[in-house]
Amino acid sequence: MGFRKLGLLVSGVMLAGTVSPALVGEVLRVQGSTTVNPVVTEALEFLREERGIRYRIDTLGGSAGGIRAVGTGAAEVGMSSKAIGDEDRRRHPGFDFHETVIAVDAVALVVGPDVWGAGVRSLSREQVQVIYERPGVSWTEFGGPDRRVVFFNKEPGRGTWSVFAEWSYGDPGEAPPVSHPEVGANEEVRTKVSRTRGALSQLSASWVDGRTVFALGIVNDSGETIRPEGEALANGHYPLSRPLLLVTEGEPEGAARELIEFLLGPEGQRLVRKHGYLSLAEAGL
Amino acid sequence: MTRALAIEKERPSLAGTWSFTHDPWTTLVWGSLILSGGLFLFAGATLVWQSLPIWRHEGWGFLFGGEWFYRHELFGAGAMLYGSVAVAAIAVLLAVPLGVLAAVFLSEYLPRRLRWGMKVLVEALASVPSVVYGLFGVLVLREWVGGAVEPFGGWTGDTLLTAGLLLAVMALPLTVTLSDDALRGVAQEQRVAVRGLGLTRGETVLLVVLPQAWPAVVGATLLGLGRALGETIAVFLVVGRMDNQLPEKWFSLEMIFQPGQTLTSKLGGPETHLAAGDPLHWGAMMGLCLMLVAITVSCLGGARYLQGKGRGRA
Amino acid sequence: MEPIENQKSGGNPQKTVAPGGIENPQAPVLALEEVSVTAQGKSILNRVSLDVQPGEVFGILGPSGAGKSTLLRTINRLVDLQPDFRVRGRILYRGEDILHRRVDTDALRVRIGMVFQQPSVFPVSIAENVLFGVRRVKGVRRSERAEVVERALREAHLWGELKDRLKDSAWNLSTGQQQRLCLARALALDPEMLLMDEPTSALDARSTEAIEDLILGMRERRTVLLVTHNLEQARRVTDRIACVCVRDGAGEILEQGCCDAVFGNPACRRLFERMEDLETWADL
Repeated sequence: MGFRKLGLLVSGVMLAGTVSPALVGEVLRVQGSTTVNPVVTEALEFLREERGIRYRIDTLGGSAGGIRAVGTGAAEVGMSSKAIGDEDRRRHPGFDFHETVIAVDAVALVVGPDVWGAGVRSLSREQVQVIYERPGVSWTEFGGPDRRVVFFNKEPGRGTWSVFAEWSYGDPGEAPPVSHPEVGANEEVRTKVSRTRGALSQLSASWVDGRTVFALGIVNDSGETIRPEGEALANGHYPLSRPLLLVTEGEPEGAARELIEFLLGPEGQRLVRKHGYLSLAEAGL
Repeated sequence: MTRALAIEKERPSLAGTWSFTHDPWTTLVWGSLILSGGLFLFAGATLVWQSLPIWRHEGWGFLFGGEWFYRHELFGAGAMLYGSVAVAAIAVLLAVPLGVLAAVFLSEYLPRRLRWGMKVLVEALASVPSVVYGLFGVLVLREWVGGAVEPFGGWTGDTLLTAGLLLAVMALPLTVTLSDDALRGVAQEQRVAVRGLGLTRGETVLLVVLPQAWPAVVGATLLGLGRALGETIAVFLVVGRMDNQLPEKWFSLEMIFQPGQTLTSKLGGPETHLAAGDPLHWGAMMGLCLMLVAITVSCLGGARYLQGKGRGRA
Repeated sequence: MEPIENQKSGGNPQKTVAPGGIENPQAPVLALEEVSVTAQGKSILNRVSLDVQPGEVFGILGPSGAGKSTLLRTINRLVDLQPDFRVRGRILYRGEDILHRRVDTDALRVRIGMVFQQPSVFPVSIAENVLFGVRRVKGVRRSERAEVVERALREAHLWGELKDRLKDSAWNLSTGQQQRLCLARALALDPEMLLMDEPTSALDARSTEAIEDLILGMRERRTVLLVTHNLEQARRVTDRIACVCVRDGAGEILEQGCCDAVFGNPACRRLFERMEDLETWADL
């Protein structure tokens, strides 16, 4: 056995102990938000195949559940679609929460070429509530054409819908019981909005193309119109957005670090886009 | 001797008591029968058992109730039942007359060689995956329906009518090929006998061939209906998935020009995932499953019965 | 004279068969001149010529495979229904060539009725079976229906057996009754000529006798063409017969004339003996 080989072996053994616990049989436990879950699951699956990382992932309790699991040591990585709040810190006093933003989930209110062409550029929260609660209302009330507003509601359980409901009603549970036609996948939203006259729907901002569907600005409480792009996304000014983050105890280590580094890298950011979220670059972060 | 022992050892113990001989084939057949029957019963029992909470919560009102807001614990399947029935009815009303006419043309008028080619083509159409039809529905049909329903108070192309039309298109090949088989099943001697009386080909079809093939044609229709009721993806994409679209009167037609929800589009949607962990919501979803299974199974049963009857007469 | 193409004349309403025709006892009502039939290029009948006098019972005798059924089906153009059958030659019915493509074959089949080897009754009532063709072809007034049914059933010797169960399904009848019902169905159209394709081969002795009586009863009023391979039957009911044999796979006429002449022909006798041997074998 040559010296080089021996050296490799020794350093391999040393690395196994520090960098990659997976190699010696440890399992990376990930828990939390259903919104973040698809991206992380796909990343983990890739890492399992390529680097032999072993993992277990679940979405028990959503974002809050993920944060709690990290705080109690039940998981190494928590997935959350909101920043760590005071409540979380109070529950785990003295715990060193470390947040890494991997993407931004921004929701645009989109219309098709006809409504956009008729000059509708923005909506306020109150106007959106009217549209949500009064099916059949006309665009004329919002400076648009004399057509019914055809509101395609993003189906429940989608992160996009939660962002929308939190913004418009404070909490998804508070949204009034009104039925609308529902849409699911982003492709479907784009197709249907672009091909239905008078359509309005919620769509992940990264899917807005400005050609078939157009994003409306949001008129905030102080009367300024904020568009889901550039600076407004980066500084969190745009109201229908939220960061997607991974929570660890202190700086991530071992497999958790591999996962986070992968997600921040080009392949990870491609995954982020694939699942309908804004990459960090798009969000200006 | 060693051979026999080996067979003895391989025989599943479950079926062993049922086999009449020591023939391993008999054992295998009985074993599969019991296994599949058992699986079916198990699935049925699971559906009933898991849907129990909803029956306790809503009672029979679950079947026809008009309000479904799961966040408010309101579960009424009425609008979905209406949607499923309306969509399937539109599909059948369109697909059957067209399909039977096409089958008559195929079976009674087309020269034999052409008929064979057409039959292969039709059967190929029948095996196109439903998602392809679904995309056709989204890109072509909903556009077209969207314009057509406006005079009737419609405001989008995603309607029960769109789903019904799409299902008709999907069910047509199956209806054609099964009806063609049914028509072919009528004895050639009967046709010759009619023609021998000086009746025309049209009269032969109307008076002898169709009446005799009718039970089998109806059977084929029910088979198509069962498929239409169970079809998910294509319907999901064009039906609009709008809850609580129950018309004032059950037989009023206004709602078919509007978005709606069917049992399958609901079950294919996200609520199935959301319901996991909430016994009541999950029970409601399982209740929908149970309704769907009950309707489809009775359609298939009816089809089998009528087809058997048709064969018995011919 | 053009050869017949299948199906070409189906929808043509023009009748070229004259309704009356000249009733000359010497002139044949039906004359086949050099009729050949091929199916998918294979010869089935080869240059068959026949003369049938009005009002006679004309028998066609021969072994199976001699194209006897095809011959009958050529006369009422039922061969048109079979794909790739081609007919050459001339068939003159009351002086008109019925192989012409402009002949209304449906009208022709009303005038030349047919009874098949296997009875094919329709799954409706006995009375409806009798009326099946006639009510559509000729139109029967509601008040006349009972009369038409009775007359046809009487002529088919079925009235006595069935008069109380006219509304019963015809599928419940015995084979012999079904065959006579088919006959009644054909007779209800009051055809001038009746083609009978081994009508008794599927029947028991009693039904056979009934049908033979019936054929004898029709004599003088209708012309009957009877295909049979039963020599005794031919002797009992026919006025004249043609003996068909198979040569090179196709049917040909060996001899035709009055019964004695044909039975006296040595070639025919050999043929008939072979047929009888075969039947004896079949009986064993």
